[in-house]
Parts: sequence; structure tokens; C-alpha cells
Amino acid sequence: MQAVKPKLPSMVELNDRTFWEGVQNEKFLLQRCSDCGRLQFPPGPVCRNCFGSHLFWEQACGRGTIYSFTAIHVPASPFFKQQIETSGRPIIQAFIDLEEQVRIVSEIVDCDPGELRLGARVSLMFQKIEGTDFKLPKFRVSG
Amino acid sequence: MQREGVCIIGYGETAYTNREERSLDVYLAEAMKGALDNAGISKEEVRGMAEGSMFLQEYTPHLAERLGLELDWVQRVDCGGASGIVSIRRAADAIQAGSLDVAVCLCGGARHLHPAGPTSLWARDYVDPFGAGGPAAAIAITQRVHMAKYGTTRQQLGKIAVSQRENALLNDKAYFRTPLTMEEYLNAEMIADPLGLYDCCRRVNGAAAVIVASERRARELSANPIYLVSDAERTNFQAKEQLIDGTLSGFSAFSDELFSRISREQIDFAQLYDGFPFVVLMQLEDLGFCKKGMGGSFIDSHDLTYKGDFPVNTGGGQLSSGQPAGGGSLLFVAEAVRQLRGEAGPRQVKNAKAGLVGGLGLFSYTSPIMCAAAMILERR
Ligand SMILES: [Zn+2]
Repeated sequence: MQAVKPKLPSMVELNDRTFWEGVQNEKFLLQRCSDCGRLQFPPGPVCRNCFGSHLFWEQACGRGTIYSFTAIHVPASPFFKQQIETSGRPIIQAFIDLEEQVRIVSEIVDCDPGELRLGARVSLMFQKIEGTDFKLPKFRVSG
Repeated sequence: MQREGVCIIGYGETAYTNREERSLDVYLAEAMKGALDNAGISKEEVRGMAEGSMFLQEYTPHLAERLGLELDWVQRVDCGGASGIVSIRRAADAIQAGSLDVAVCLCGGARHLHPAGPTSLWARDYVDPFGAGGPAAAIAITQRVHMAKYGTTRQQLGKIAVSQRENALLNDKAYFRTPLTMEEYLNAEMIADPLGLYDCCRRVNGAAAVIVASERRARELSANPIYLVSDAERTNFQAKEQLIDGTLSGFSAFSDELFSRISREQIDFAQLYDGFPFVVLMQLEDLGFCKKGMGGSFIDSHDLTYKGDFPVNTGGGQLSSGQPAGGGSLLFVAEAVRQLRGEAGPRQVKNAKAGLVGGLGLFSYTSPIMCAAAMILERR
């Protein structure tokens, strides 16, 4: 079987580049607004709450809970199709509520979807995309 | 908003199919030709065009040139599956402002064309690397919350798909024209758990078109114009928030205003954008047909077929007709006008006088509905 190349994040906007550089250094960065104090993700050009422009980066602690999830059996991309065929397991995509009160999208690894519950505690880990040196922030169920 | 002086005087649809590979411009032309014939007017009468096919590979004026149209008004609409209704709203605004009297709204898709234009950078950078589940994954995640929070079942959602299929058996343009049973729905292959195969639309080729006219010109041109009573749209909902209730959508922001002239009880049918059965349920709840979370029991207690007490997607919707890639949203408007004119043949809703159309499109980072739009049409 010929390996299909994964699509890497496009990082069109400057903030996206900063976030993904952080990930490569094993940091999950959130933006905090110094005007209203709110945290936000994904990163953007302004605070989406108060429209302030004074944003700085803050590292998430990496703990959170599952808000909800799906087990993807039929993905849109050939890369993930191949991954599912090879592993024989669906990909678990989840909305995760970080302790910082920010909701993010990620993947839960090393987990049987039948065992996963809403509200389960998860913790951050970093995993290289197969066949590349590019790291992604993923999660696993923590005890 | 309440709308004065705007009518729909014609509609056209191609068959929804993937047995042939024609290009998008051919489908759009066929749909527009059908709409002109249905309205009984020539293309010279049309002075404006609003176009909402997501995957059109060129600009709207280029399409107009292909169709040989000279126009005084042109509009590109890019609200995903809400584009059909939004295109009619744009045309209605321009007509009310006096810019023109007659416009065509066009929407369609062809399977072999893929989006080359703008996409969501957030989806590409922050969602796709984690499984590339597309809209199905976003809906699945939200549907699971709804099921856990309100006890909504797959059987209740399945009833939407099964009832719509019953309607589609009487629609010769529909892609699927064989019955669907609840067992087939429940036992189908999983796509993104809890969404199975029959929760998702088959991608097809096809297009629909609608002719919008000022009331003055509509009365001159048409024996049975259908009136635009009220319409509304909302882009983004809870966009400032981080921990949102993803089961709640922008429809709730305008639903009371939408029904201020014609009430929910006066609606004879609803054509609701159905990328998935779950978004039909969300529209029923957020447009106020039942309390939030009660969509499942609403579905249980109504017959959703064309002959039922609450007909939904009387032509089968996209779940049965198929989804013209990135351009199915006018199919719902075409079916609404057809019903209100009494032209729906064997699937005619008896004495249909007022109908609701809902459209939704694009998904945001952690909410499955970014653009919500709706309108009420009436036969007078
Ligand atoms: Zn702020």
C-alpha cells in the first residue's frame, strides 16, 4: 500500500504560525486578552469578547474533560482512510473543555470509543504525524 | 424582517443524479431554463442574478456571460447551505430598493468539482488534522450532546429520514426512490458515530433556480405569484463565547420575529435544510415549534410525510434527493413554491397556503451551524 501524504496545517495567518511553533515545542498556547482578561482559542487578530488588540500567549495546563466526541469511521481524507484501514480502529475526535474554560477540538488516542464517556478526564500529549516530524497536540484518558 | 412587495414567480430544478458527469454550468443553465419556463418569461426579463454555488470555479459575472445574460445587478452569496434563502433575501432587498424588478437566484453543484475557493482556515488548521471528519463529525459531536442532555434517540432522528424517503417515492427528480425502513436506518454502516449512512446525504449533481420579482411586475407577468411574507438570517451565534451550548443555533435569534405575521400554527408545511436529520430537529426546536430539547418527542407525535399533520421536506429533501455538492439550498425553496401553487402532483399537501423554508450552512470551530436563514412564503 502506497503511503498517502498528510495535509499539514496551512498556517496562513501569523497567529496560526505562532500556535503551531508552540506545539512543535510541546506547548499548547492560548491567547489572553489584557483588556478584559478572557482566554480564547483558536487564536485570532483581536479579542472576540471585547475587540481589544492586546493579546498575549499563555500556556494551557493540558488537563481537561470530554465535552463530546465522535468515532470517525469514514473520514473525508485519503490519509485518515488509510490510517483507519491500517489500525482497524476509528479516529476519536473530541471537543475538550480545558481547565482554562476554553473548548478545543482534538483527537483521543489509545482509547476504545465504546469505553469513552462524556465528562471523562483527559490530558495533553504530543504525537508526530506518521511519516513526518510535525507534532500534533492530542489527548489521552487520564486514569 | 417583514417583507413587502416581493414575490417568487418561477422555479426550476434539474434531476438529482450522479449517473452522468456534466459540468456545473450545464446544470445551472438547465435549472434557470426551467425556472423561466415555469414563470412563463424570457431571459431578457431577468435583470439581476444572485449565485450561491459554493464550488463554482469562477466569478458570478463569468457565469452570467456563459448564460448570455446582461444584468443591472449581480450578487455572489457564500453562506454554504443557507445561500439559497440568503440569495433570495439579497434579491428582495435590491427589488425593494428599486434597483431592479426581476432577478434569478441560482444554486447547484457537480460531484466531480471540489472546492478550490475559500475554505475555513480554522477548520483546516485546527479541526482537519484530527480526523478530517468534515461536517458529519461536527454534527455527530453535537448530536451526542443532545442525545445525552435531552434523551433524543436515533429512532426519533431516523423517523425524519424514513418519512422523507416516503415523500421522495413520489418525486421523479429524487436520487433515492426506493423505500427506507427504520431497520435499515438503524443498522446502516457508521460514518461518524452516532451518525450512520442514512444520516448523511449522497453527493449528486444538480441545481435549482428561482425567479424573484417585484409585486408590481409579478402581477403583470404571473397568474399565481407566491408572496415573501418574512425572512431573516443570522451569521454566527455565541461567537464571543468559549464554552457554548452547541445544540442551540442562530435560528433562535430571529424565530419570534419571523413568525410575527404568520404564526407557527398557520404553517402548512416546512422545507428544512437537511444535511443531516439532526439539523432538521435543531431547526424545529430553535424556530420554536417545541421547547428546546423536545424535538424528539415533537417528531414522535407528528406525521412528517406530505399527507401528515406536519409535513417536512415534501420532496424528500437532500437526504433522499441527494445533495448537489455545495449547492442544494434552493431545492427547498423550489419545493415550497411548487406546493403553494398546487403543482406538487401526487405529493401535494392539501390546501397549502403558507410554508416555511429553513437553510443553514458552514460549520464554525465548535458549533455545527454558522449561518442560519429562514423565510415564510404565502399564496394569496
Ligand atoms: Zn478582551
